[in-house]
Amino acid sequence: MEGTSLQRPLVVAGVSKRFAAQRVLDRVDVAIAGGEFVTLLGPSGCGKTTLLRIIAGLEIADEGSVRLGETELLDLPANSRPVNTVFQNFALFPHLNVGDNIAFGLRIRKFPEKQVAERVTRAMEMLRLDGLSERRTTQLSGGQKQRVALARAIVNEPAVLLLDEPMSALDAKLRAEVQLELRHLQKRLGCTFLLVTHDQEEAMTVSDRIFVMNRGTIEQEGPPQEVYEHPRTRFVAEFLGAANIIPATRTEKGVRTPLGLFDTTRVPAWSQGNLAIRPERLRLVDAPGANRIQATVDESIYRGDHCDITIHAPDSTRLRLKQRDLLAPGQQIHIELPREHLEVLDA
Amino acid sequence: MTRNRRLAATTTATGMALLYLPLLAVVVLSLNQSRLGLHWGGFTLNWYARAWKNPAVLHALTNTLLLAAASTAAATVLGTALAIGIARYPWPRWTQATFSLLVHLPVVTPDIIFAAALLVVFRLLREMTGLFNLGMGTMIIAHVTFQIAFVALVVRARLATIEPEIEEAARDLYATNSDVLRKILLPLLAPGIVAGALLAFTLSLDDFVISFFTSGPESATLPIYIFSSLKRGLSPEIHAVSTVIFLVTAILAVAMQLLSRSD
Amino acid sequence: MPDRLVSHGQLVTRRRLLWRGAATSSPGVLWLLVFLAIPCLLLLALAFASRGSYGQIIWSPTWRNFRKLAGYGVFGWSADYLWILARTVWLALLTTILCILLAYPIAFFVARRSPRWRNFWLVLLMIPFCTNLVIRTYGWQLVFSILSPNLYPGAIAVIIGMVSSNLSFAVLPLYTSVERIDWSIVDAAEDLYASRWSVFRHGILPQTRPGLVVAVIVTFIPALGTFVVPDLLGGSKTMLIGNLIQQQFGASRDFPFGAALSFTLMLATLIALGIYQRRAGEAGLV
Repeated sequence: MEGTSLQRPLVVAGVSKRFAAQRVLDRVDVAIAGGEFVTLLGPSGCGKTTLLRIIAGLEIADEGSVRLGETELLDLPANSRPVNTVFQNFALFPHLNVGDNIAFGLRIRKFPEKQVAERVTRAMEMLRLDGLSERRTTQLSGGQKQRVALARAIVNEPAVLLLDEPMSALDAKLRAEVQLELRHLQKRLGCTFLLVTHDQEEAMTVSDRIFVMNRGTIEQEGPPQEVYEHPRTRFVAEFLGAANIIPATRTEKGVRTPLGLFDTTRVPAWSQGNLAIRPERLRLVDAPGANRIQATVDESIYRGDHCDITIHAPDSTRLRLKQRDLLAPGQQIHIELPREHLEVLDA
Repeated sequence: MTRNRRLAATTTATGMALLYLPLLAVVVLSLNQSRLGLHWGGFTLNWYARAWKNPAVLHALTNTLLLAAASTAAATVLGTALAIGIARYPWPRWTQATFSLLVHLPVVTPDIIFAAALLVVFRLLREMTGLFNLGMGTMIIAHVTFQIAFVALVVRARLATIEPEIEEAARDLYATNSDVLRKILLPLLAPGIVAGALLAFTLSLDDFVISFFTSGPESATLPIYIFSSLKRGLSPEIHAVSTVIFLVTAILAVAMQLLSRSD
Repeated sequence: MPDRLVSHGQLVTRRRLLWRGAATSSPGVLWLLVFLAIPCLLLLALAFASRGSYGQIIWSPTWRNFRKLAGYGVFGWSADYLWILARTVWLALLTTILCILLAYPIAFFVARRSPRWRNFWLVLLMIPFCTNLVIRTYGWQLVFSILSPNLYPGAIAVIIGMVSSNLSFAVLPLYTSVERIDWSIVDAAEDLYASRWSVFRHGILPQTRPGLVVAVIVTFIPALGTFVVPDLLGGSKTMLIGNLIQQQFGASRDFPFGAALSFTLMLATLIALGIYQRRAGEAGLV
């Protein structure tokens, strides 16, 4: 359970689960290399927490396998898996102080006290908990509780650390700071982190790769940049940020939409489907041209570091534009939908 | 609004009077020199000394404490196990309902019916086996029976406050069944178990009807002793004994309140 | 895979889990079955048995006990037992009403204290509740002999004794509801209604209904089965069903009749619970 096993790959293959009549997970495949920070991102009910709990051993899968290196985890009970979890509401033991909470797993496994003390001190240093060893868990702030929960898990040097919506119990101001700290922690420790969240900003901040989940399946996976810039389904496009969805049909000359004919980087596999483009990718231009349309400004809202502008095309299609400067409502403008940013979505 | 306030205050005063007047009478008369008690004959602690030396009183006291201790011990173990056995296992709906009914039965049944039912059972068992003569044994059995329910209810309530994630976290950290029980469950349940035991103890000390029905000639408890003495005529010794009981109960009540506030 | 599941983090089969559950709960369950459930059933059966001339039990089914209760005795019909039943129900009702009338103002009083003092008052209410009933009741004998010897023994003494012994039972559950009252609703009611009763009925009663229900049940049912208070304060004219039952299991040794009386008492208890649940549910009131 220690040493070089920190870099074992985690492979989830064909995992399914039903709760009563509902299919919560549908033949999910997730392959994670050792040492990666991976996020399962999706709305509530998409199955991400269930998958996490199956990996932790707190739920049973109806079918499938979860292999850590050579070991089939699903054959093992939770208390034998080299996997530790940070729970959403931290689940700190209320009758133990901070130090005993952190030392719990080591003591269960009968580590000699000297080693326990060493590891606990090191973990507490790493998570800035120095001096809090005697404190009762009820007297900690939200951020401190989270760090104790993290320390309690990492002190066991697990091959995989599972985090179940770790930021949801923290207030918004703390979150950005903690997200970065989490990323640094993972890089420092070198073990695999698997985080579950519904917050796309969080996912993009911390992850090496994101798996976007919806209704029990993985819709898309990849590094944050790829998933954001090149969404492959409508759900991914709309979940990871704002998106303009344009219905389209394929023709020999290009992709036809109510806004006109457009050139795209990929040829769609479908004859009818959708295109997507992010509001910040629409370009204000001077004159008409390829991949360009005419539009009228409806509303222009100043947000400080950017402006959110709604415009409508001659056929009444509404689009959202995001740029630095305000535009006057009623103004007639030309907009380019650059082909490298105009995404073809799967049907 | 002040009209209401005055009403509330006067009613409370009346209520307190209703509650404490009889107790006050007992306390005052226990210190009264005069035997007949209707007029004040002077302050004395004589009756306490006499009560303390009275072998019948001491015998009843021993019985009371023995009964409470023995029944509380048994009921705490059985009740705690019952609460855990009901609450933490995936019983089907009908089983849960039956358990609930069984556990709530002693709480809703009037004492006297419960006592009568036990008396009947003891009589039948006596006719069948020759054992179960009315005495300490039958009283302990009777007490344990109603105490189990109260202990189980208190422990079950406490159990409900333990989030399932706590146990999951313990398992995630390599704990075995035995570890979870010894290091997580029992320590977290402890305040509930103690509260249940204290409640059971107080209920036993306090009980009259059930003890009265199921006691034998040698196993009178203090309440029974007092009751029988009343039939023979009041003696200030009884007042002394009663005052002591009242004080002990008061201390126990305060202790229970302090305990329930400290978690 | 066999029927496996994860319970509280433990990987186990459903069967094994239930076995373990059965092992843990069975001592308690068995005890309660043997010393509670079965005795109650036996009592029920006994109600239909009869008493032999030497006090032994004759187990052939008969309605004799219930006919006796209804008044058909050896010497012709007399309503004595029925009167006892009626008196019991009436006194229990009266006690409950008086207790509730007192309990509301007291609950408000305590709820209005500052948090530190509230516990003090609650403990003050708890102490008599925990003190032995025999002591509290014979204390009333003393009080009556000193203050007003005419009242004792008699019905009024019994009522006072019963209210006194049940008051804490009534206040404590009511208090838990009163403590949680949203006073802004009461203020709104005061704006809308002129009479105090209407304010109470619309502002306070609905909010305190849960506590009130418990208070009524927990006062009425013990009052039905009480025997110590009428025994010590009532004298021979104020016999209640509790005394009657005690007699059958004591001096008279007529266990079957006692069982029938107990059965009737239990029935009265269940009927009261049923009526109360339904009416409390319907009208939203008492």
